[in-house]
Amino acid sequence: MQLFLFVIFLFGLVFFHELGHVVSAKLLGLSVQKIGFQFQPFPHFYVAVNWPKKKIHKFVYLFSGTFLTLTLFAVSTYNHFFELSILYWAFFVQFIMEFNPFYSDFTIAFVSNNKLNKGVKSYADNYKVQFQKYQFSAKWYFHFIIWTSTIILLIKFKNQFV
Amino acid sequence: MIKIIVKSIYYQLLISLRIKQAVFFTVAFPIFLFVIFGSIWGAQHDGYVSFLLSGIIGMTIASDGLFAIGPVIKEYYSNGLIKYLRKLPFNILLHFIGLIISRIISLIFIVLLLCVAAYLMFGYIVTSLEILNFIIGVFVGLFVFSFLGLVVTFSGIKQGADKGIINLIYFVILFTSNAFYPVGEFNKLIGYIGNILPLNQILSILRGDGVNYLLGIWTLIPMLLFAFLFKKVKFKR
Repeated sequence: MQLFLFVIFLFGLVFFHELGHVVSAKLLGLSVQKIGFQFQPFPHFYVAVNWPKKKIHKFVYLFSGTFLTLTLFAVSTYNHFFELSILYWAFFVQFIMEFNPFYSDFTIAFVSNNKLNKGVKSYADNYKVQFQKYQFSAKWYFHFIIWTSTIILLIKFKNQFV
Repeated sequence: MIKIIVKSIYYQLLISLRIKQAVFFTVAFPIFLFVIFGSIWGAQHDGYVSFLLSGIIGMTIASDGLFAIGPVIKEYYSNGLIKYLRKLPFNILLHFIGLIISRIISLIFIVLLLCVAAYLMFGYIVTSLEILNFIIGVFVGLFVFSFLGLVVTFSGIKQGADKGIINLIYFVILFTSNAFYPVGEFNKLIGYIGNILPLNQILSILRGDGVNYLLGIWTLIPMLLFAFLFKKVKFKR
């Protein structure tokens, strides 16, 4: 039963995360090409849009999903929803996936800041090339440390307040 | 001779620092695992932080021994680098001694980093006896797992497949061991298998629990097997 609830809550959080991307795309005037699911690099849902031309639009679009998750987290904390501890663990897993330095909206945001490579056929191929340069760089380690700190803070928050 | 070994150690350390992935999995990843697992379970169970610290050190020794010695030496032979090393005006063994000492230095550095992390994150102060156990564990563990790695890489398996096999061996050894938790308390069969495999023997040294005859077997047999395989293997380039 606990596992079933966990899966339901996690899917709910994923739904709201992607909804954040869709809403921000509509507000920014970006056309949503597809909402799908893929297995690479790990099984996840995605929203594909016409890539924003302005940097600020790109960041707003990419971080809107996490913003919605953080909002839901704040609302849940304020309303003591975490008395149902399985909901907290669903948020915990969702935050680990959203902030991770291997493949997330944050890595896409940091990597897509770099210039496009000549000769790559698609944005996916370009991402792979740019990510290989980004991974294990100083900026990446900074991201990794922030991610680790977030996990530790979430554990301590659970132990102290939930 | 000392000067040559020191230079060899220096260049081996420099080479290993240039492989970013290796630096991550040798330095950052063990600290990450230690900090996360310690945060989750350390507060609830007394003694878990020291248990986990020795477990993570054991895991790092196993991975360094299996992945950083055998495949590297095999690569020297299969890409013909040995031919050039033999032409150098010093004994080729000094080069390999430099490689092994560089791994020992890097492991001791990681042990110290983990001890600092234990103090900063959990207020755990490592005693001098524990540090001595860790250093002995590094020497013995690296010896055992290096020869295990050498046996697999020199066993004549197709190049590329040997890394897959080493990965499989590493994960089987790791998840049947008492590195992260006493596995035997959850599943007796897995605990029994783990007690036969070498990582639990190394963890006993790291935890100051003494050694048993199985460690002697894991020290001797891979060494003898490697000596036999080394004479038999032919390198195709």
